[in-house]
Amino acid sequence: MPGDATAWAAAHAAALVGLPAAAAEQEVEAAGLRPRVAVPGEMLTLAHLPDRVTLVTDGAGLVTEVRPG
Amino acid sequence: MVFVNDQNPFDVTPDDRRPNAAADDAPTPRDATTPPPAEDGVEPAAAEEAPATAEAAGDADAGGAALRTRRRHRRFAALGIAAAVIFTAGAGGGAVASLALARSTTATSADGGAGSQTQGGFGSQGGSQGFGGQGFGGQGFGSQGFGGRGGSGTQGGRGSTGGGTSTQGSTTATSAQVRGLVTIVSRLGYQSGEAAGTGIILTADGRILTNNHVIEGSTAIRVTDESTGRSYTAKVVGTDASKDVAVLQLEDASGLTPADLATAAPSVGDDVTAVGNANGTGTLSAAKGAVSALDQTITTSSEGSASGETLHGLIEISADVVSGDSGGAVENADGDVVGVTTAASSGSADVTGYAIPIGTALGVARQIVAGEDTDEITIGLPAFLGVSLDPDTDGRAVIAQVLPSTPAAGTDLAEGDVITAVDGKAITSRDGLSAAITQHAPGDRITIAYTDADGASRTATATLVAGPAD
Repeated sequence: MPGDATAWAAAHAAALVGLPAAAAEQEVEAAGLRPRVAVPGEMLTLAHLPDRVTLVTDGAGLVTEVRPG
Repeated sequence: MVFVNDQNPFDVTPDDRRPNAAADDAPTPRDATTPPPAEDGVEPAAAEEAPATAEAAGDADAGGAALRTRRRHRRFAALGIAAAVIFTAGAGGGAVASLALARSTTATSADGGAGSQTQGGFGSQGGSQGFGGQGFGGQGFGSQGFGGRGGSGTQGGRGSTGGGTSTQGSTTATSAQVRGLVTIVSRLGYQSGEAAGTGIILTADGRILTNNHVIEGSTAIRVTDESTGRSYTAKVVGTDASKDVAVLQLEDASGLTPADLATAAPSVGDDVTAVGNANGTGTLSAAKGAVSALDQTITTSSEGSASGETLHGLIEISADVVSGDSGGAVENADGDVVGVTTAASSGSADVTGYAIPIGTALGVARQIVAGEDTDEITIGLPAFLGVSLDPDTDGRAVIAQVLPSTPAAGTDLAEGDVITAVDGKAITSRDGLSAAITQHAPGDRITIAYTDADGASRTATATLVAGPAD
């Protein structure tokens, strides 16, 4: 059963922001959710997956935003 | 300046005699090669399609034998789902992994584009409120109880959690903005997930326009007319992945209100509103912005298994579009649809959205409805064998996994086997296998030659079924 990325992201976003993308990905996967890493300049198609967490990163590869879906 | 006629120019007669996808793609009766579903309560595509297929087949009977014309699919359909499974295996943690619907895109050009970026970034915590969720569970959708939307929430708006800046999120769409739009939930049976998006009503009897990536990989689709609250099962009429356009047909639908579609392109600087199923709440919301550029090209880069696509001629907007908005409407100041929301930028506080011009989308939709099965367009659902292939085998068609409850599962095919021929035609690559499968229609029986793990040459036969949406 897919997890609820919205609730999870709300609870964990603060801890993820600032982490390297790879570390944040591991956290997402460990929660049974599917991570999507977005680097600067990328765009994202806009289907909403309730068990997906999009990790927006900066030029240094650090997470700057956490978006459920 | 935008000239509109406040009419839906989609002029294809809904009840044309072109065969319904479900009818044509009806698999032959299941046999031992297509056992019933057994994993996680997930029905395979064919099983979920079965009730509708039977119904549609009845319609086909009424319409005459000509409606049974077999379709040939030429796109690489079968491996779409196959590759998804490959990445599932690599995700770890037991989580379902990257999938076709999760493609990311990379902007490759930005010619033109004077407009203003009037919208702020993703609002902090904005997305955490008012999510009722769109569950599959509950009430009757096929055999799996693909139920209605759960809870309503309070429209928490758009936005990310943490980081970014927050300025102007979105508002609940007005009744006028909602008119002609639907929310879509796609069940991704082979990926143990679902995806939500938006659609645009083209005809009163339920022909829907949306993005291909909203329904790609789906094994069942539920659509809700947000004007009436009525929900419908939807069938895939056809898709064009290269244009990211799909057309759906709602079952037993009538009296829907089509969207008002603009008949002229917008101009840079025009005010627009993106209306969509933001964050998959099942409630449409509206985000204001402006057209910042026209004729934009973006190249989608694959995420996980999904192949990238280059989309041309897009409208760039400054509206705060978010996940769930795909397939939704970009409306002009008169409320007429000028574009189909498709993608958004990442990594900036100012959101840049991209929409397929409605004229472009309608052109593809007309081809689909007319049944033009081309290299780009797949009519209905593709034929499906049910194997994933190992991507690290110098191109050979080496099986990485045999998907349960698929035609392949009814054979002796196993992980590590190398498929060498289909119906006597040599297979020397993964693409070659994909092409061989997609040349067939659901219901076709094929003979597969392969080399097993011991090096022995063997053959197997399987009856292809209708696979997940292409």
